[in-house]
Amino acid sequence: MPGTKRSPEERRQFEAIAFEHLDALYRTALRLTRNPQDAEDLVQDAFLKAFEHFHQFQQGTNFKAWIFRILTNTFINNYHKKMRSPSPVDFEKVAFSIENDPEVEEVQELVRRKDRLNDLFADEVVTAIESVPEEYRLAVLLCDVEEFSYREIAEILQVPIGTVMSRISRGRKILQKFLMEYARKSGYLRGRSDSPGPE
Amino acid sequence: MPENPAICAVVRILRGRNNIFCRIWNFSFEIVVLFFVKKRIGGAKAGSRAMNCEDVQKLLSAYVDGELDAHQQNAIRRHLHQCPRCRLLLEGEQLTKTWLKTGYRPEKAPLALKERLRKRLNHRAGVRRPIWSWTRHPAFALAAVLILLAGVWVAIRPLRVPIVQRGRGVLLYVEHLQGTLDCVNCYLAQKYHVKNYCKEYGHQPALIDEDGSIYLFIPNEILEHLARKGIWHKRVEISGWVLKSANVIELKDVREVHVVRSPWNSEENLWAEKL
Repeated sequence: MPGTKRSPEERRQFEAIAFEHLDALYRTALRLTRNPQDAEDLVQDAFLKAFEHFHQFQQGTNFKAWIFRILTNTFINNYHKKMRSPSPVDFEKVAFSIENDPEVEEVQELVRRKDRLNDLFADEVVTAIESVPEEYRLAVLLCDVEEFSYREIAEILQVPIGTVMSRISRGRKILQKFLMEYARKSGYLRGRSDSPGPE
Repeated sequence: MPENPAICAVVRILRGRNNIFCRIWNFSFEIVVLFFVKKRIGGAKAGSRAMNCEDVQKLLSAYVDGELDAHQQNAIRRHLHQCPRCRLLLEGEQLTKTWLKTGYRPEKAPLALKERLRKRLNHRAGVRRPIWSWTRHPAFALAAVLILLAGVWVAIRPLRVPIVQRGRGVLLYVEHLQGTLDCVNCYLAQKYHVKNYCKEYGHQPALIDEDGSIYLFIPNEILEHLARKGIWHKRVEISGWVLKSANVIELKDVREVHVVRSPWNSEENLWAEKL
């Protein structure tokens, strides 16, 4: 109901709880849209929509999950089609790595060099996340960055818990692949593609 | 139906839902059922006894996230204990999760966004009485302007008031006589190309009505007032005594007439203003 106005009391109440999650919403929006301008627009749309439907929110239930659900819905409805911008990673080239799980040897290498990998992460983590296909990206972000439980994620994404579980599992594996790819490219990991030695 | 009271009592006891015998019976029945069912499920679920690598790897993420029930967790733990390969994958999974959590640069929402949101929320909640919310609609502004214009139009369109004449012999009292205030000399000079003596003798005020009749004025203070105000060539509406045979008027009242053209037809609307 776009015409209905919320009272100033409702606004105060809404502001008090909603602004607490603004950073988290923005962070997630940024990873979803991949650029600050769209992220701001997305957060604003979600915020106003949440405010409009604030009367439907049941006091005492999980507000963060509720507003995140609005954010993801808004994203899927309004921005999904718009987001045709190419992802920073060329999917054609890395398609193989999405389909296959990381090799045990790769994981071994990753685990062995984990201390050196600490230097790598900041931009690379962001780039890696943004490269993961959207449905997996969203599930992993909600779980690992925003620390929602599987049940909450299922509620946010409106899918069964089993789906959440498989998306997170798949998403992490893809992410692992990308992280290793980056680590290898920047010389932290000795990759087979980089050193085709006679083994 | 047997009439034996003992059998009847037993039947009543077994049929009842809330008596103690019934409860004990139901409870023990449930335990027996659960025992058998669990045993069957346990037998069917190979993973619960001993999960293979594939089962474990499917559940590894949920295991790291602590989303499994105790039963599954134990099964996985047992498997991990004896499978170095799955232990490695577990570590990889844990590393990924940790990197995501810690390596993620905390990005705060820009202040400008915060401000904008606050403003928008205020805007949405600012109107205390929702009944007035429609007044912000552009259509309302348009309607208001139209109504206002219509009001002004109605107000300023005193339909031409017919000339009223009240006779008293050769003198008539005339009301609402309209015409243009002009100098009779200038008017005649222009119209009939005759010599204009105004430069020598000054202007001579007169009212020329729509039919072209010329009314001269008997000098009085109203005429002086008009001359002072300088409303030459203006359309006026006058009232006063007219000497019929000579078209000479003694002015009693003069109003300036403003012409407003109706926007939807060429009708002239007049509005007389007291001078």
